[in-house]
Amino acid sequence: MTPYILKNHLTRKITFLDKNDPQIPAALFSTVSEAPDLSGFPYPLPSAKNEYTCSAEGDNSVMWYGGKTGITRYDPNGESIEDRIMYFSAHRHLPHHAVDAMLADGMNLWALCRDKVAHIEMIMLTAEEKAEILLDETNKYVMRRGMVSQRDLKEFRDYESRYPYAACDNDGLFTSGYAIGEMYRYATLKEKLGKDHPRVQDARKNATKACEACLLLMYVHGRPEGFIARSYHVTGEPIPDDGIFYKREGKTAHCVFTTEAKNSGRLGEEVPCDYPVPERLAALYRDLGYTDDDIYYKADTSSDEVTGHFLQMKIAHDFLAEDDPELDELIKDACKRTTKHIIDHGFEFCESSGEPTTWAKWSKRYFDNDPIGYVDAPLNSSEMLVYLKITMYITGEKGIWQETYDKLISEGYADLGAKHYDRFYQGAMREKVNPEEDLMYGDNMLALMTYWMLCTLETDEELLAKYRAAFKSWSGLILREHTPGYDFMYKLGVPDAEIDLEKDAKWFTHFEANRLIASINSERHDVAVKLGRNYDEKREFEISALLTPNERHVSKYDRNPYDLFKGENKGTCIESCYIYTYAYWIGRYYGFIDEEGQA
Amino acid sequence: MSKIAILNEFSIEAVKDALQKLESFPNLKVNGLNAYQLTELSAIDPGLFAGISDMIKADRWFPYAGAWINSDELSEIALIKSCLYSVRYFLDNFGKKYRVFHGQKLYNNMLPQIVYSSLFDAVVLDSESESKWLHGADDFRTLVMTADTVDINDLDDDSISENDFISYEDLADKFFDAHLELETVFLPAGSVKPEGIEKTLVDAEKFAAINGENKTAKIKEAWLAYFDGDCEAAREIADGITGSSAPDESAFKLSDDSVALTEVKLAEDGSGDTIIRVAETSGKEQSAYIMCDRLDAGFRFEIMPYEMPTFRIPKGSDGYSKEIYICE
Repeated sequence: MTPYILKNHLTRKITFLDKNDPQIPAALFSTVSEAPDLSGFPYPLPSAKNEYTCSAEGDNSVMWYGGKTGITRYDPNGESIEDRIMYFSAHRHLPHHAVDAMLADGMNLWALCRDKVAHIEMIMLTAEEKAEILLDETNKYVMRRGMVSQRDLKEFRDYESRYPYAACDNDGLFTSGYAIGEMYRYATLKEKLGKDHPRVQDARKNATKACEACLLLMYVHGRPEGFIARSYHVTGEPIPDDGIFYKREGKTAHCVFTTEAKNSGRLGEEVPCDYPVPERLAALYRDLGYTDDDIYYKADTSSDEVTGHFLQMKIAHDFLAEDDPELDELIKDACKRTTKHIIDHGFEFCESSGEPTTWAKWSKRYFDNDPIGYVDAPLNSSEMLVYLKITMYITGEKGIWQETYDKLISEGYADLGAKHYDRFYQGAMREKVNPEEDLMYGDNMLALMTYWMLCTLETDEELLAKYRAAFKSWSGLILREHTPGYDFMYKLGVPDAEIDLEKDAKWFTHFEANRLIASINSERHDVAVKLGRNYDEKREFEISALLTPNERHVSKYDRNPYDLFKGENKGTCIESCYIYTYAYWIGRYYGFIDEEGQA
Repeated sequence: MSKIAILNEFSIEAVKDALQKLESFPNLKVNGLNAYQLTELSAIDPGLFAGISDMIKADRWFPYAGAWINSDELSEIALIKSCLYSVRYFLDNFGKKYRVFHGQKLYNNMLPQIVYSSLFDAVVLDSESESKWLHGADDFRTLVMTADTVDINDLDDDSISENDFISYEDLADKFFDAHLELETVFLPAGSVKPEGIEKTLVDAEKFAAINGENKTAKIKEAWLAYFDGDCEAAREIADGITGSSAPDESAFKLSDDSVALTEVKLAEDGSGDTIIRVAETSGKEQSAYIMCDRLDAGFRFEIMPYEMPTFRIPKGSDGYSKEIYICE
């Protein structure tokens, strides 16, 4: 494959200053604002023409148009429409929606917005430089005890004001994504720079720590049978109200108060926790002064977590095990314990009471008797098969794993996958909504992880054909996103598939060099808003154009990129880098992309 | 076992018989009559029409929504207009939106997209004898439903009393709730290419909308005349609007030649908003945009292979464009 060469690209760097900041040029305040004449403007404009109140001309014929609803940057020489028309809006790029005056400064711009000034710098970065900037931000501001999800801020946009703790429902899945990105970074750079290079060593250290953090979630509960905690907190951290948490005390853990625990009747429930946490993993909290009795772990684990953990273990086994046999033994043990748990509980992930968790069911009982299980069956049946395949791959054992795999194949598990779109579409019609609206977007990633690995590990041609057919039944809603992390995995599983590398490249080049969650204005005149199918409601649910990542809401791999985001957020959270680093390093490792001058 | 009672014969006697049975048996539901037949009925026998109307409003009579007239001679563009006027007829007159389309054929493989875009979720087709999924090359799909039916006029009192009757709308709910094991039939690519009198009507609508003239009522009159087989009357109305001039499509600029402007019209609700429909013709997904200086509007959109999205551009430049459905 010939890699798509990513070129250096303009990236936005935004700084907000108080109006009296001495760095601001005095000329900004004496600038006379005049509405520009935009009649005959050749491209769709993000604001209505009568909303523009000022303009400024920068270098290379670039025009900046400001107004009541943000700033439009027009570069007549831009290669694509996304380069020709760029939109800056509150609160990610501007402190307020309205712009009172502007002053161009070479490639950059000063914008007066009421009592604040935005300094917009357009800096050239390679996609790899951006990956490093984002990684540093995550490691410094987001990571907690090796786990990577997101971090809230006390003060808008002030990273130093971050809370010392964080809560996440899916730490296992998101940290797995981060870990996989770092493993591919390590493998890519090792091949290029040699294993002793500081960057390679750094990547290995990051990857190992993230892998350990994931494995810790598979032991931190201390339950004798294989189980995976969604997340865990330590003494002194607030416990979120939206979940089931157990506090460890000696050899028993008890369910602590949350509204959900009370409503589900599990408050005070006691479960065993006498299975030792491996010292190497426990170091992630013991080195900070916490003991096992300081642990509050989150249960009611979902298939999201389990799938992320299995892929993470498989990639870690591939890239980290050779030089770290201790880690590999932990991976093998965690993998076997989890798979055994699922088999022993009739293909459901169960709490100590024997009751299945809400969203981790791979049983025919669930598929055949629950309306949601009927729709979930194609993906969940394949997930179960990939857990078994990965277990065999990592351990090198057959035995019960192969027997179970064969049994499930004989029960039709491999045939269910290709029914995905039929059942999913049927479910949307049952709910009388658009399929795009009914999708749980996180399922896209689970399907990609599952089928990528099934198509990679299965050698039986007949089964492989079934898995590829199943993968293809997800293609419509996956490929419309033009998210490279998705496209690369899809292409690896379905080699004859066509993916649009040019659009994937645009995703990298138009990605912000930070992961601050601050809202953008998605009510734009240059995109249409799509109405939902329920005629009576006339609900608006997504936009008709795929905006570049720097002009849409910030999220993980679990949101609709066409989402019509109407919320207002002035910058209260930092998201992790993994959506970018995962895609970038997988793309580099498998040769989908490369940097200019490095091919 | 639930039964589906249908009205096969369109005559005053047959409709009267069906209505009497509905009035006598509260468990009965009847399916039948399209928009064309109901407008005929309202002209011929207003009293009987009023009785049927009450039953439609009470969800006892379920008309054949979808095509204005159930003809196997409709082209793809005619089906689009037929769906538009039929859906609006039932909304405007009865406040009803139905999810089952009744039709005859696959309309050059455009059926899934046209019925989906007209907000129908399932179809009953004269040409199909097996339930199945139909999946178009444009990635739209629909559910073909089949069911055993009984003619309402053949039912005696005992058989009505002894059975449970459901509508096609109920049947769609049952299908979507069931564990289906249906074949998915993948259709080849289709297209919508108006020709002859149909192109004349489409052009007349474009001509009026581009010139900002509200001729929606006249255009509807022309299409209904055409559905009724009166091509001469339809052409006369169209020529009256255009004076035989072609619409000036330069008012709209599309970013790529493979995305075609297929329809321009004013909104049916009289708001003055402009409705446009475009079509992807090359079989490739595209990021496209359209500019319309006269409306001070321009917007971007993703368009899938062979897709025909419909957009509503607001009359004033302050509003936002929306991607909508054919029934707008």
